[in-house]
Parts: sequence; structure tokens; C-alpha cells
Amino acid sequence: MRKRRVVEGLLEAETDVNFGHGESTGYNDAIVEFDQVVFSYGHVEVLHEISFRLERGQIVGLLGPNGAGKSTTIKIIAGIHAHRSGNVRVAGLPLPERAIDVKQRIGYVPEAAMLFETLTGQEFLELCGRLHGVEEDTLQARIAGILETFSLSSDRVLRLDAYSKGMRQKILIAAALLHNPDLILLDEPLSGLDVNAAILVKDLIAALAAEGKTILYSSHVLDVVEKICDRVLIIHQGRLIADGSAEGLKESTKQTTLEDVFRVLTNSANVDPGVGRIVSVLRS
Amino acid sequence: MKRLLRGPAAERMLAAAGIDALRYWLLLDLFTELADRREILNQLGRDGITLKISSWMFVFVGGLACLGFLRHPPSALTFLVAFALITALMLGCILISEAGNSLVNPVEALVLAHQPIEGATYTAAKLTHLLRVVGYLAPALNAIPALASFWILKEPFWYYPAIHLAATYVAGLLTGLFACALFGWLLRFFPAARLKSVAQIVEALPFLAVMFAGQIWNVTAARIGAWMPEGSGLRLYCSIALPILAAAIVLTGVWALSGDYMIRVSGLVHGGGGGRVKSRRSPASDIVARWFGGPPARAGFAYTARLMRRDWAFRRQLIAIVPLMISAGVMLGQGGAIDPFSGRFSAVHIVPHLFGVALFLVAIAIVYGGDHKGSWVFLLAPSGVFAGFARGVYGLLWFAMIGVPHAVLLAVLVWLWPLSHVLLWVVFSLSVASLYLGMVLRLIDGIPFSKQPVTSRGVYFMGIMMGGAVAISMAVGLQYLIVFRSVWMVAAVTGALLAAAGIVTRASLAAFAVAMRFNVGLESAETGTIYTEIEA
Repeated sequence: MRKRRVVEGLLEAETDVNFGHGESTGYNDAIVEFDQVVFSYGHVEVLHEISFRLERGQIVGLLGPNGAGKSTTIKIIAGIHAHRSGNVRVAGLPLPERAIDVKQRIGYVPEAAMLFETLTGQEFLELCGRLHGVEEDTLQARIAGILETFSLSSDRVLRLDAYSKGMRQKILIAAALLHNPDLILLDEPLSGLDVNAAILVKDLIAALAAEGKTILYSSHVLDVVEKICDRVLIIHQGRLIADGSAEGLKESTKQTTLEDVFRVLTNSANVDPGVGRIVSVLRS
Repeated sequence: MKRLLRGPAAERMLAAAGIDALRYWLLLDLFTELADRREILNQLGRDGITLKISSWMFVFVGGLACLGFLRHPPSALTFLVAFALITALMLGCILISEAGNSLVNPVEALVLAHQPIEGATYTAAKLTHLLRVVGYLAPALNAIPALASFWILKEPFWYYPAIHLAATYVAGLLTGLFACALFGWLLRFFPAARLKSVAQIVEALPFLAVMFAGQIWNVTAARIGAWMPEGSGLRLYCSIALPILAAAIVLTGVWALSGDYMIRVSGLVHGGGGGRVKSRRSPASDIVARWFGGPPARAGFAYTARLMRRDWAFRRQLIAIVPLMISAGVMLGQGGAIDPFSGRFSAVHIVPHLFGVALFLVAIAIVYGGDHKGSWVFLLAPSGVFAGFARGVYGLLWFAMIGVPHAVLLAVLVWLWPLSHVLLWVVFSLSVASLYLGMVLRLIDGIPFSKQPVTSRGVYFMGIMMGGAVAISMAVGLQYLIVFRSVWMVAAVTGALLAAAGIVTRASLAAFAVAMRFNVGLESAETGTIYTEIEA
């Protein structure tokens, strides 16, 4: 109920839908400012002058086909990648110059679960909390609380190489939240989670947003994005092609679901020929 | 002790150097914990067991080096300088490789990339951990020389051992800092996509320096005098300025490394991730598929060919081959004109056995790769395909390491010797190399590139390498004294070698296929993450 109230409030505030013009939407209380950002891997440019702003307390869905530049965008905000040109500010701090201060303020769940395999769940979380300077008593209380919620209390002393994919994902989510960050970057956070854990994380996202946290949520599961996000950004081939609420995007494109909006905007409306080709190749 | 070391004074000192003390100690504890639990095995500095074994080997080497001074007792200064140079050279071989692996392929830094850690703090912790190697190896190498100084030096004095140990330790530390500074400069000047390749070239340089130390010394010693300006005053200034310049280069190199290291980490690990790779089907793979076992053989050929070129962990394991190839080239250049049937000894007699050494090094390294986690795909392969896959791997090794080099040798030698001698020698060399390949196939303990590199395994092959050196010397002697005295004798021996190669290869291929199947079975029984999931 509380989540719905927050979402409705934000939808009312958001009046414009922006299709790929790369202009800011006029919010005042921005926690992330992306202004004409260009990023390259070597000589391959993967983000082309992307601009957007994220406001405090928003849940923003980041969508796009594989290789569109979603994870790269998140990594730039997390201070892991340095962009080639343009300006990026997080909580008013310029990146990459103030990357350390930014990293103090963000929680990040990466797409691939990179962990120190020989540490236990408890040890890994302690390491992350201490690197963020969380006081020991607070840290232990938070670890205990989060692990209990995720039903990992009894597994806390197991090495991470013995964890299943879902358990590792829970540890990553816990590590991202331990220092109570203002901005939470989630790159496919539901990957590998069972149904109960996925519901828990979705409710958690809503609750954190209600606490004033900003959440950038990258996912391919469009119905989840449609349900929990106040605003949706769609990136395609390194360009921001849509920015607005799910309802606004559906209305503007005259589609009934976010999935249909996505298909229309990313030119993947008709996948039948591709499917037919695969089946015929397999028959040959 | 730990509390004292990590007290407010140390904290102030670290802060003055721009290092966050809290996170520095946290990272140092983390690296120690990971080393104790053997999480990442391909770094000597992180593998305590290998470090201890290597220390004992260095004690032995130090003792051997002392023997060289017994006949002509040196002065204390000469003895000290000689061992400082030996320490710097030997540690340089290890530390440049260590620093390269640790700083250019920072897998563990990727886990920490989004944590609030300054580049300076991370690199300081990393360097401290790497320099553990100096803490073990420099005293180990110099323990016997320091103690033996009482019997070796012209004029021994009671406190010499302390000076010797301290000076050589400092030499080791400076070498370590130089190694890190070197990579600091490389990180600045080379793009991430090129960095790993450049690092491999740099890692090979100390081995070449050790191999050609004599020639390098002769050239530089002769030229330094000429380069230095006339006049004792100017020479004094140069003597002062040069070490200051060297120190500045090292310090700025370390500084360059630490600046924005944590932002570069992701780019470093993924290196040329954005680059496109040309991939075309090799005609040789068509032949292998046609005659040696169909699609599985083609799979073994193509998989091994591509990863041998692209796998960074594999390529850096083979750095030792570079000096070997260079010395083979030098030997051939010097002795290539001498016909092996002329009755005169030349390097040409050794060449077939150098193929054996190279094949041995490849065989012990090929199982280990940087992307070993991808080997789960073999869990899904039917067990029957491994025989064909093994033949594909064999086909690639024979083609790339025996066939092509011998074709090149044939094209060169045909201009130097009579045609019949060239043909006979090339077939003889081919049969020797093929026999070696048949034998070393037994050492490939699993699917190529399917295991995490383990530094310590090199120690276990020392015995084989020493025994192999003796066997090769005997074989070269027999070749020169008996076989290459008559064309008919060479033809007969070549025929026997070819038959032996065929028999040995057939048996080894069967054993290789079994080894691959066995390792797939072991992998599926492990508690490693990906395998557990598949079982579940």
C-alpha cells in the first residue's frame, strides 16, 4: 500500500515522456546527473551522448536489449568505469574525480556474482561493511538481520564456493545494503533467486524507495519493471531512446504492455522470422 | 606486535603517503587470508607453500654460487656487489612476472572495484603483499653466502654477515619496487587491450637478461666508460645524478600505478573485450577432421589452436620458451652451415631435442588456462568423443610445433647442405620430435585449459627436467659419435624412431583420452559452484 502511494505520487509528478532527445526532464532534486556521456571500450564506442537525471526516492527501470549499454551505464555511475566525455555527477559529486566519495554513497549489485570464493558469507559481508567504515556493533546487527531475512543464518559459516547461485545473489544484495546507501544500483538482482526471495527483494525495493533511497534497476524481466518502477529508461545501441513512466510510454506508443513498448522501440516487434530460421537450421 | 605495527604512528605515516590505514590493513589481512586458503594459486606471492619450497631452492642456489668464489677469495665489496646483483637478477625474474600477473590481471580487484578504496591504498596493500616474496627469498639466497663469508673473504670481519643480509635485502626490495614501477609506466602508456601482450614481452626480458648476462655486461661495461664525461668532477656529478634519476623513475612509476588504478581495473581484466577477433576455419583442421576422428578431432584442433593464441595465463606460462627459441636461433645461425654428416659437431645435433624441450613445456602448461571455469561444457560431452578430441589436440601440437617449424628449416637448410642430407636430417628431426610429442602427451593431465594455474607444480617437474637434460646430452652424444657417421645408419635409426613414435603415440593418445574423461569425472564431483548447480 505504501509502495503504491509512493508510485502514484511520483507518476503524478512526472508529466513528460521523452523519446531519445537526451535532454534532462527538469527534476530539481537529482542524485544522478548524466549529461552527454560518451563511453568506449578501446575504440568501440558503446554509449553515445546519453543524458538523464535520477531523482531521490525514485525507482527507475533501465531496459535495453543485450549489449545496449545498461551495465556500462550502471558501472559508470558506480565509479567503476571512467567515461570518455560528458559529465556525470552522483549526489552532486563529479565522476570519476570523486569516485571514492561516490562509492561510499552507493550500493551495487553486479550482474555477475564476483566473490572471494574461500571466504564465508559472514566474512565477505564483514569485509564489505568494514571497507565502508560501518561501526562493528552496527555491522554485526545489520548482517544478522539481513541474513536472517534472507534465510541464510545457518549458512553464514559456509564458504561462498558452497553457495548456490541464488544464495550468492542474496549475499551480493546484502553487501550492497549494509552501509545504508542513498543510491542503490541493481543489475539483474533477481537472477537466480527463488520465488519467495524474489518477492522479498521486490518488496524491499519499494520499502527502500519509501525511505528516500533511489533505485536504478536494470532487468530484462519487463513485467517486474512495469510493476515496481516509477520511471523507465530504455537504452538501445548505446542511445537513450525513451524516458518516462510505464503508463506514459504505453500511452504514447499506443501499446498495452511494457513488453510491447519495448518491442516497438527496439525494432524487435516481429521475432517470428528469427524463430523460424532457428527451427529450420536445426532441421537441416 | 601487530597492535604496535598498526598503531597511531603507522597510521600517521600511511596517511602522509596518501594511504587510508584502515582499508590498507583490511586489504592486507584479506590477501593473507586468501593466500592461506589458497584461493588464487597462480601467484607466488599469494601461495605460501610454493614460497617456502622456493626458499629452500634459493638456499641451495646461494650455496652453489658461493663455490664459485672458493678458488679466488674476493674482497668484501666484490663479494657483496656480486651477491646484490645475483639477488636483483634472480628476484627480478620472479617479481616482474609476479607484478605482471598481479597488476595486469587483477581478478580480485574486480570484486572490490565498487568498494570505496583509493587506488593508492589498494596498490600499497598489494605491493606489501607481493614484497613478501622478497622477505622469504632474499634472506634464503644469501643465508649461506653471509655465513660462509668467514671462510671465503680475503679479510673477513665479524659483522659482515649482517651487512650482507641487509644490503641484499635492500637490493631485493628495490628490485620489487622497480618491477611495480615498470608496470605503473606500462599502465600509463599502453591501452588496456595491448597491455597483457606487452606485459608478456616484459616478463620475458629478465630471462633473456640472465641468459645473456655475460654479453650484456661486456657491452655495457665497455660503453659506460665512453659515455661518461671527461673530468673527475663531472663524473662525480653523474654518479650522483644517475641514482637520483633512477629513484625518480621508480617513484613516479609507483605513483603512476596507484593513481586511478581501481577505475582501470575493469578495463584491465577484460583487456581487449571490445575488439573483434578474426576467426576462419583452418585447412589443417579439415585434414584433421577428415582423417583423425571427425567433428571431435576438429573440435580439439580448433579449440586448442584458438586458446593457445588467446589464453593469457597459458601464454605467460610459456615465457620460458622465448629464451629457448632465441638461443636455438642463435645456435642455428652460428652452426647451421655445418653439415651434420661432415663429422664436425655443431648445434644442429641439438635442434631436434630442443623441440622435445619445447613440447615438454607446452605439455605441462596446456592444461592450465585463464578461463578454466568455461570447462563445464565438457561435462555435457559424451565420453566417447574424447578419443577424437585427443587426436585433434595431438594434430594441432604436431602441426604447429613440429610440422611448420620443420618446413621452415627445410626451406632454409636446403640452401646450405646437399639436398639428400637436408631431407634425411629433416625426417630424422621430425621423427625425434614426434617421439617426444608421443611421450609428453602423457603429461597432459586433463582437458587443455581446464584448470586454474598452480605455481607450485613447476617445482615437481624439476626432477624430470634434470633427468631429461642428462638423457638429451647422452642422445646428442650418440647421434654425433655413432649415428651421423653414415647415411644408412641415419636412415635406419630414423625408421626405428618413426616406428617407436607411432607405437608410443597410439598408447599415449589412449591414456590422454582417459585422463580427460577422468578429470571431467573429478570436476563433476567437486563442490565448486558451477558443478554443484548442474548436479542439483
